[in-house]
Amino acid sequence: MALTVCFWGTRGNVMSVARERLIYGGHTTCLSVRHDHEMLIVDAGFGLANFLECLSTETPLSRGGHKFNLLLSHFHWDHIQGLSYFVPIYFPGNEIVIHSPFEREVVTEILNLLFDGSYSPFNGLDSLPCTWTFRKLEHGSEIGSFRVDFHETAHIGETYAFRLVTEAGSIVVATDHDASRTQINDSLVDWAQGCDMLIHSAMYTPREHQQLGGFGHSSFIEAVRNAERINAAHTLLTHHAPLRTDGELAEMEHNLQHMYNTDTRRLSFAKEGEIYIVR
Amino acid sequence: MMRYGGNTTSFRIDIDGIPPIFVDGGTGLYEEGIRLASQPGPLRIYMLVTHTHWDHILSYPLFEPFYRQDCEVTFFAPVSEKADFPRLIRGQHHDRTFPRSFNEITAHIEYRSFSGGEKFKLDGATISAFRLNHPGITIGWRIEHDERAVCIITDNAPVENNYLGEGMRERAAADPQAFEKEFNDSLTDFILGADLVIYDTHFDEAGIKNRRHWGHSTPQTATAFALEAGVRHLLLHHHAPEDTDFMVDRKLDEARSIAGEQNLVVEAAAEGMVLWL
Repeated sequence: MALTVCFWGTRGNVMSVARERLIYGGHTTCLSVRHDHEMLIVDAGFGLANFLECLSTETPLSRGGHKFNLLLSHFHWDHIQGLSYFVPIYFPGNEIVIHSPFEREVVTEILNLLFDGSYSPFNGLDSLPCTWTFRKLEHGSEIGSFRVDFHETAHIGETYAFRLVTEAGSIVVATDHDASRTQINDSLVDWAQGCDMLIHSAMYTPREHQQLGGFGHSSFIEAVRNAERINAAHTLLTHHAPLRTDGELAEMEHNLQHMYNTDTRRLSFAKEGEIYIVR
Repeated sequence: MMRYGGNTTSFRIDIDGIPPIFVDGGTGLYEEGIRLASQPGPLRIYMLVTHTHWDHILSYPLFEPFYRQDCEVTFFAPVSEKADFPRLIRGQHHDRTFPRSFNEITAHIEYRSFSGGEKFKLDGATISAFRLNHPGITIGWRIEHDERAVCIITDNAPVENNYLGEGMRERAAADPQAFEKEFNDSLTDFILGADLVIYDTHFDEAGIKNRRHWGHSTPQTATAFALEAGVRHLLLHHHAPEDTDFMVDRKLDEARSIAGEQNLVVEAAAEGMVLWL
């Protein structure tokens, strides 16, 4: 029973599609986790539209009958904006189940803002033909064969990291987290101990991190330090700065691997469209 | 290789002696904001907005010059009966959806709102507004300066039995045929003789079937209007997110074959493209 992760969006803040950013990708955060035949989507940045590429085409989305489990870590635009372009929502009979540590009222308030008639061609959540289901996560909630836990991250506004545990292995997803904030970070490091795969924010160089005062994200160095402390078998760094080019990312990736005496099997920068085998 | 680009709508119009006019704030605007932020001040910027759907505004909260004190911005945006434009800009800074609050914006921002049919002078240029057929309230803009004219029709659907956005159905109710004719004639007049028209060709003829209510046009419709109005240069724009470069090429071929030997240059908008009028 294989456990795999695929990134559909790796970029932070804003989509920035360009020739020099095609390899690591230009869409905002979205990834899917597959355990055997079950799939969870984590966050709904613009990458979410690309996620549909991995679905079987046997039953068209327009015919309904499709169900998607989506975990939301928080509601910054770059983590929810892709929902408007997620084709299954346009057709009746499709169900979108949104799992998050937030109260239902918070989720619906924000999604109603996303689908507001002034910002979109829709008129609120209820104007869409699909079915929306909202589930508030508890520690250890089960979604199919996944056991899901969450931990607050050091970000701007209430944000969570997820730990997804299956028989095949475990994944921690902390896309938006500033590891320099010691108190929350120490607790998060304890909580994430020994995961098979760690997906961690690494938006800045140490100098950028210092200049910006963090802004809710980690530097590459702090991210790798966290990976070492957590003792993750494989670490993927993500939430790339919008304008960082493929060349710059590849060079930093290489330097980090060299500095920590490791290689791509243990430490890499997430690439859009790439499938990573957890175990 | 990537030719036409993947960011959402944003472009810039430069006229001698006038501050830059940025049209819409799609994802394409972000990089320009970073570039401008590093320039010496003071900055004076005009922002022309066609409508407030996400793909046209989502970079405004990320536009770095807004966070500079020596930056002065004037927005020219559509009037809506439901929601005023400054409120919609502030709405993007909801504390759960964006890390920087609206109060952190230090630039001096002024808002001016317009309805279809209005016309105003901006420094030496003349700017006119035309209400388009698209969900919500969407404005097409015509900018004239020194005997040159550019028209911006980013989001607009064929009006035939298809009335989109606030009040359009009501306007059509009494006499639909007369309303449609009046809309089409006025749109033709609006782009009449323009040196450049940037026109919505989101769909091709197969794609628009059953989706006319989405509010977009095809190369066939765009070219017909451009030819009717004696336009010199037509730029196909608002490519569908799922369009590959090859599909945009096909739209371009179709428009060019309709234009034939007539006096109309047709191109498809590509990121980074610069056109001189």
